[in-house]
Amino acid sequence: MGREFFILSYKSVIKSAFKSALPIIMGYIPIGISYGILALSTDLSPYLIVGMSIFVFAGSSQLIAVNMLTAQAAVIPIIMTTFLVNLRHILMSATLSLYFKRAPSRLLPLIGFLITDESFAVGNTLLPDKKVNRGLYFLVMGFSAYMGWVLSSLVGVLIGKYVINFKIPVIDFVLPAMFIILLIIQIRDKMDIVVSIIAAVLSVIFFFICPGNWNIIIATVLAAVIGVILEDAI
Amino acid sequence: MQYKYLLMVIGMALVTYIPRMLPVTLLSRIKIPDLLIRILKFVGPAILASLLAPAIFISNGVVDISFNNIYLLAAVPTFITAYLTKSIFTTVFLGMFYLYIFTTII
Repeated sequence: MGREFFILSYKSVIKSAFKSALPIIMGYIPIGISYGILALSTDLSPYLIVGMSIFVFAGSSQLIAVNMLTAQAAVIPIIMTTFLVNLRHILMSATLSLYFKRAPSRLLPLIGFLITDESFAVGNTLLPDKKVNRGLYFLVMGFSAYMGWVLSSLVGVLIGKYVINFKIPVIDFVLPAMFIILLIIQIRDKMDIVVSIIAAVLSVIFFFICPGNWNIIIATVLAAVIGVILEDAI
Repeated sequence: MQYKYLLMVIGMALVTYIPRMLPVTLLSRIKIPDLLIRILKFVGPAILASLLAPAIFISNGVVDISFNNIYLLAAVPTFITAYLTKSIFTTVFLGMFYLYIFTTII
């Protein structure tokens, strides 16, 4: 267990973390490029379009912001909507905290910045199997995905002037397919299946009742609480 | 004009960063009640199901459980592939392939 062992293990952590980010990056490329192209039609400067990807790093709310700007929305409602749409990260951040008890404190604010639907899903699936270097693992995975997002939106801005009709239909299925495999991997027992089905049904119902991605946070909390109640009842 | 949008981006960055950063930073350093841990253990599958369900069951703004919904059709073999391979890469690639097949034949 000398110095070399640790260097080797760092290298393997970085390598496997980058590898696990690849499906996320593949999913981000079409979304990021679409965001860049669409944002060009607003009053946002190209710097701010890419700047939003760098500082906000939240795909769905960035696309919603662009949509609202196109509809002449004011700045405050856009910020409020962003807040509501991204509030679901509270649950992911709280869940991931279970894995970072031994991670250095100074890494935690950085880890927090990199929490997205996708990095959460991959992290929550793969972190339980990692016994050491969980902080480093999540940082490398999350940062790779982050770079994928920023660069994709930059590409969108750069090619936006030349592209009129941009559409690759099958790419739309990358993120749903990734959610499917991550869901399958996370299911440990029958109660997880029950909770997932409850969450799926509630999410679709609340999708129609309340706008702005609230369905995700409401369905998740309700289904998780119902799961605990059912566990106690059985 | 761009000044206003600069403020907008800063505002969006803050309201996005705070909910992401606070729980992982604070909860990692305190003892979480057992009941909360039990709830959080269900958050993983529940949040993925919540994200996935609208993407495959809702098409053009309505619930569509029929053979016209190619996303739902492609999701079925994708689930089977995921279950059999447990591989993120294989599932994502074959998932796109299944969607392509259904787009072509329907």
